[in-house]
Amino acid sequence: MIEEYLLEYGYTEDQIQKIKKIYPSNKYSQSTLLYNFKNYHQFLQKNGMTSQEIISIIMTIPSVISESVENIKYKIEELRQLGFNKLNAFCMIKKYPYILQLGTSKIKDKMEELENYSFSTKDIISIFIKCPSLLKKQIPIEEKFKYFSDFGYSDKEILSVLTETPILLEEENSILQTRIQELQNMDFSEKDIVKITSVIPKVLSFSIQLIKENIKDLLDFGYIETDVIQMIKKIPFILSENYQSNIQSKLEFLLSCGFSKEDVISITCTNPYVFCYSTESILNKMEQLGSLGYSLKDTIKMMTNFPYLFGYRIETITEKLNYYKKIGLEENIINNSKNLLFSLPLVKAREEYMKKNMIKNKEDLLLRDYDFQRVYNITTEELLKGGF
Amino acid sequence: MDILIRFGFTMEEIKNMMDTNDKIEETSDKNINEILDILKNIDCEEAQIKNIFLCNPFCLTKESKEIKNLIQKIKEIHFQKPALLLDSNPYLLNMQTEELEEWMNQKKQDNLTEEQIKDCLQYDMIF
Repeated sequence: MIEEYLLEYGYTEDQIQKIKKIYPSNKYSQSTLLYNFKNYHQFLQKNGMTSQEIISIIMTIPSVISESVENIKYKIEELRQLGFNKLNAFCMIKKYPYILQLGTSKIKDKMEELENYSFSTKDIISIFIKCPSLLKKQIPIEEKFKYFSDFGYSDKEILSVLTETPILLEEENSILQTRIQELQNMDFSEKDIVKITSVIPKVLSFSIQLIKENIKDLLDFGYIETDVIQMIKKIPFILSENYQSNIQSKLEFLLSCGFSKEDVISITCTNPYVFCYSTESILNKMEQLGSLGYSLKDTIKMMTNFPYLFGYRIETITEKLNYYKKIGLEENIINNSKNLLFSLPLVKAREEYMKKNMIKNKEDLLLRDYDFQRVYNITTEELLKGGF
Repeated sequence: MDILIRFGFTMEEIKNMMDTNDKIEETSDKNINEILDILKNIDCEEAQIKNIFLCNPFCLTKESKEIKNLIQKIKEIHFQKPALLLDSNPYLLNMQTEELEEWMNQKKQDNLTEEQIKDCLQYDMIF
């Protein structure tokens, strides 16, 4: 009877044989076993687990079946009292069923161990949810702190890296060292690695193959590896999973807007943050430039030559463009859109200064500060102060 | 997020910032408020602050202390109006203070004068 039930539930023949060996019919009441199996299945299923997940838990620790389902309910309550919510508790059991065999005091001890290293309760809970197997192991926390500290991470960065990627607490330092060496071979300096992994700690758990796979889309598009490395140094987010799925579609989107492949590469190498902006906000900006009277060709030219335009607020762009149009420098801006970097209060102060001094060379309004000072013998600070 | 609404960002702008940097959700209003205060203290106007945040929402998830130190470093090279610099190049706020210091030292080693270094920082899109 129990065999039929288990088979129907999804257990394999091999699994059933294993169960039969552990619970031979001459020693265990089959009806009690069947009752326990049904209770466990029902309870775990009711809490969101699939039959395969349930089978996996029971096959990992078949001894649970000899006990009442009340035990598992009690364990979950214990975890809740320690700060884990019900969902976390089930998630941990799913990942690491041995947790059901751990006493509360042991879990508490492990939590305290991390507390001594200044991890917050929230961090500790997050660490054990991500890596519940740590609850049963000796955590080489001091050794890890020393390793990261010697490498140049601050205490705060170490806490963040280990909280985000607790698997590093399980791994041998030699494995970590190999990955770091591979990153250095890709031309990331120690400082770069600290910066990148402080933002995306998971990178420390990535194999070099995974990193290369992550940048494959960019290389296939036409970027050269050194450019990609430079972009990652600027914005490590490129390596995060969220952006990975996004990059290919962003490249296609930019092409569909009318930018050439070369434009796209040039834009994103100068300002990789373009990968982070939503397509809606980019479209809005292009439409806004169109509504100000700029042709698509000019819009593309301006955005390619000055990719900060992808990020600037529409009102800021509009104010600057309208001003340059008013003073007759529209062509200059179309051809040298990088001049939009000039702050408007400064250019306006220069305009006033030139008017007062009857200077008519409008193009000089857009001289770099150092050159303007050299030509007109007035500093930026004096200009901004006014009253010249 | 309330702090951004109170400052005058529209829901669409907040959504855009969060689409760009999903960690904003985890940042406390207290930290954002401190960043706002730092920017106001260097005379950033409302429109400039909006431009900085919209262009570079990543600065919202930096610790206010880091931003304060970075601006202090910028001031050390006599940028009397750092607000104008940050409005032009909001991405500078993503630099680490040590990174900026290193960049500046490199320029000094290249024999650039203080004025030339200021110029590069202002107009070279270094970040």
